[in-house]
Amino acid sequence: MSLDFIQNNGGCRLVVDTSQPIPQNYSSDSDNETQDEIDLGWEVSETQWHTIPITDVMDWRPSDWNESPIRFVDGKDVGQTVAWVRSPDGYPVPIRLAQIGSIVMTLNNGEVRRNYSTMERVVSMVVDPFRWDEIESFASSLQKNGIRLLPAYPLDGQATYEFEKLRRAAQNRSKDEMGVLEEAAIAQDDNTPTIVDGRLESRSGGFDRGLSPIFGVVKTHYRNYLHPAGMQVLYQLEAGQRTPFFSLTPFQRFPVLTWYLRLSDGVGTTPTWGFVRVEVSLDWFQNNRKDETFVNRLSRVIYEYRSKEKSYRRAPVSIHPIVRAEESLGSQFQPENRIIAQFYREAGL
Amino acid sequence: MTMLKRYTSHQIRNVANSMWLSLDPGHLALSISPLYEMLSAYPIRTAEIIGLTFQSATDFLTSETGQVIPVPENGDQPLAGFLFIQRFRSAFYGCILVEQGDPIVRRRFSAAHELGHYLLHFRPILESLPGDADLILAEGLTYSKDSPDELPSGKLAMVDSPNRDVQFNFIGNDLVEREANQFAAELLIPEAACNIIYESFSQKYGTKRQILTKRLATEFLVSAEAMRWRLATLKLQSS
Repeated sequence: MSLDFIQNNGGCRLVVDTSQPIPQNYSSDSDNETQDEIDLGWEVSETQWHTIPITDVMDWRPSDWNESPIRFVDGKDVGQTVAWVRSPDGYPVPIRLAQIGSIVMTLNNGEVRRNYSTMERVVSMVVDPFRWDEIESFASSLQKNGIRLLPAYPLDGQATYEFEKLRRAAQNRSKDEMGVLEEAAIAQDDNTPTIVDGRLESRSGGFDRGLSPIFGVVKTHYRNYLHPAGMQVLYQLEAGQRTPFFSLTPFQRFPVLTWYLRLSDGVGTTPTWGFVRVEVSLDWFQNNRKDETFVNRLSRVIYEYRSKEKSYRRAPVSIHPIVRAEESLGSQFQPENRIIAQFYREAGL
Repeated sequence: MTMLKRYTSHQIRNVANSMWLSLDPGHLALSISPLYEMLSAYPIRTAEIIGLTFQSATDFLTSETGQVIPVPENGDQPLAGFLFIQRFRSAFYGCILVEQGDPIVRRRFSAAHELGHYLLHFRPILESLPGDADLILAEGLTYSKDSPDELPSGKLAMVDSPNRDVQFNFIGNDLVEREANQFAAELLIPEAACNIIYESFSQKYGTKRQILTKRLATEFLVSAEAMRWRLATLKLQSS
């Protein structure tokens, strides 16, 4: 069965996916975080922030620490807007085709090995402008072709005719579903200390926030949580140093303790490059009576895992097991152009 | 007083399962139920209306049939679905309307719910009366404003002498609403398919309820709420 829905609704190929600049009043994910609650005085008073070295932890070796994370979870979403159709009202609705997946790598005797992985092909798009029977038929046709339809919704929940908003909605939906696969990866064993690539909140369905030793390492920083003195400390960090930890309660109410850790001096790069933000569930931290010693040790372990591959562009903000996870998962994805060509063939485009 | 036929869960499942008999067997390999094809087997037309209420529904039906349709009380009440069955001088007209502004997954559930009322409750009434007896049967479906994530509910109504009486008499109750919801769930998330896919996905993705609910919902093209309810009623809930 072909994907008649696309032809029936004036479908066109989108060969070059050029994203338009986002308008100033555009509401994005990070904008939603404006309701975050931040307490910078958790470890030290807000006025006494200073850099904290973590490489001189005495009488202790990361390899002997039984709380050292040995599982590493990563997700991948490789896709693009490949076509658009016309809604009954006449405005263009983008269709995004992607491969999404998640993976668990486990560290054993110094070797990082793949422990679990899953991958899928998905189409995400805003479907509500169309008749339900058309979408039902389209979803069935996709399913026959081994592709799952992900109904997407504009961020503000309002109907819109702005192509860019619809494109972002489709992209976010795909990323959300990748998050579900990451949750499934975490859930394979949520009792073993684990590092996930990214924020904890968006993967919180995979573990118990009060019981599971799951830690997030965030490479990309969309928002500044620090006060001016905190920013000064952040820029003063040298490799192997961290900021004081502070509490962060995002708008979806998953409170974490978090701190910045510099993995690389970032010589020759911008001063904002080379550090990661580490997240630990506040409930878990308190339930297990953890303190700055734990934070120093976890920071030290993450620092030891830092990527030293000079050829890897993101090495200054990456840890080696996650880089291996990305490589391993990427190798399971099919070449993007082949997937797209197959889609065009089925859609008659 | 019109007596509505009552059903056991087993009977409702059998009615829903019988819908598959006339379909292309190829559909059995997919988890998305071909609801529209199933509906097409009956002389019931489907349409979507933006701003569906009793009033807008009857306006639509009046324009379709050329007859003045009585408006049930609370004419401006927003609806998710509306089922209308009319037999007039032995001619049959059936229509299922859904709110166009609802998400696709809700529109499908609303349509399946209304089909359930037709098969389980209205058709037995039609069959129990003489073929030339005129009547109108209808139902308006709503979601609770306080808890929109729950399953919908409605009220069945009947005009048994449309030539003389222009008032709807309510004939339903909560039990028939539950039957229609179960029918919709049986149709959109068939038990056998759900068990097989749940088993397969549990091995692949683990048994955490939140993850499986989200993953399975898109597999069946239903809402997460409907999926959660279905897993609970099939006792497939996990940690």
